[in-house]
Amino acid sequence: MNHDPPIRDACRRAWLAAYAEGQLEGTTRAQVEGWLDEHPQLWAEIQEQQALGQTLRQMMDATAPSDPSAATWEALAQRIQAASVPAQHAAAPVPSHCRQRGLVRIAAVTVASALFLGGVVGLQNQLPGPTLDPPQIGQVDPLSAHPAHDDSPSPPLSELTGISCLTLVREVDVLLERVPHMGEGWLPIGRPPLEGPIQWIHQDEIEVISFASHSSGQQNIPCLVYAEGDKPLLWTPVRE
Amino acid sequence: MLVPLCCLSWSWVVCGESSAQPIRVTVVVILASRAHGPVDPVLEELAREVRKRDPQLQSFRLVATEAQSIPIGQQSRFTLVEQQQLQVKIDTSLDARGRVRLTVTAPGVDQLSYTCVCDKYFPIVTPYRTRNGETLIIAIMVKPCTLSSQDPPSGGRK
Repeated sequence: MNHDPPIRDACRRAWLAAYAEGQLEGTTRAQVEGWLDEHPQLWAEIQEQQALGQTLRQMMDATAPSDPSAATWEALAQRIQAASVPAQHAAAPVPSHCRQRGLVRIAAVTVASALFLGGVVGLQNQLPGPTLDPPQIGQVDPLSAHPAHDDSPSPPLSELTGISCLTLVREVDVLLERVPHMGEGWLPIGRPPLEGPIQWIHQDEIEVISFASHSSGQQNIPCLVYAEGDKPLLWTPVRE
Repeated sequence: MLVPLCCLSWSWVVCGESSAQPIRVTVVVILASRAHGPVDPVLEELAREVRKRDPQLQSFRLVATEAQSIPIGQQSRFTLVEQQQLQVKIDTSLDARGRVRLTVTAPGVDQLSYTCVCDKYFPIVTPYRTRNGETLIIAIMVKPCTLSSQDPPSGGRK
């Protein structure tokens, strides 16, 4: 007896399934047909595979949502836009950038919905059939549990309520008042208090008018520390 | 007769507004330590100057920077470290030499009045020592508030 190893058996089943679905062409199809001629008992498996594929297609057709009409898409877009604008601002004119963001959001939701639906259909197409027992056509009516057209009202877009058109601040609109030193690599958003490199003052750019320290109590005695070429620096004595 | 008066009064108002613009005061809070440690790259020049007076100060680090817009004739407080504060009063606006006069009160400095140019930092080495023994250094810079809302930020440190 010639028993195919499991991997060969898996490959064989894959080739047979592909042949049953009409996905093979040319040389590959001829090889499979030659193999079927040598093993006519496998035609039963081919027929079983075709019946299973037919059942799966019927199930997918039954459960796939109908393609919404243009009016439905428009109504959905209006609902999303209405949910995106707070009630208290509904009467106010919508700025152009808000409208643009709303359209972008609508487009994003539409694309995401289309991708989701496409992904669901595609996932169903790629579900492994052999792990499921093929239903007997005529005994099980998968359509009865999943009507093709559901006229019940769609759930409210509660997750979208409360989303308002946020006017984001620009960098030039932010003026940071106090910034702790966060180390290298930290770039604050907006104008930091320390703008650019520190430029220290020169001797001829400052003039001390009066000075009084806690310890000396001296008045009108500038105690700037500088020699020729040094930068001016006020050095106050340490409290003794 | 009224037209020249109106123009004169309008120009006076405009000039008065421009000269009464607040002054933007930027304060850099620095801590220097005698312990071995790094010197913040932006403070290297300051470290050289301070070490001429006290060579034992090894590390210099930037603690915080704070900027406030202070109207002419008014004062404001800046938070330093450990509940210490710096008080800055803008005495006069830009004079004919483009200098601003201000009076500051800092730890160890009861009152210091000086005039300085804009956009340059004036360092003050205070006698205040933190709990860790670090020396508090303040650098003060003034500039007129000439920035408009369209001016791009100059960017932070990278």
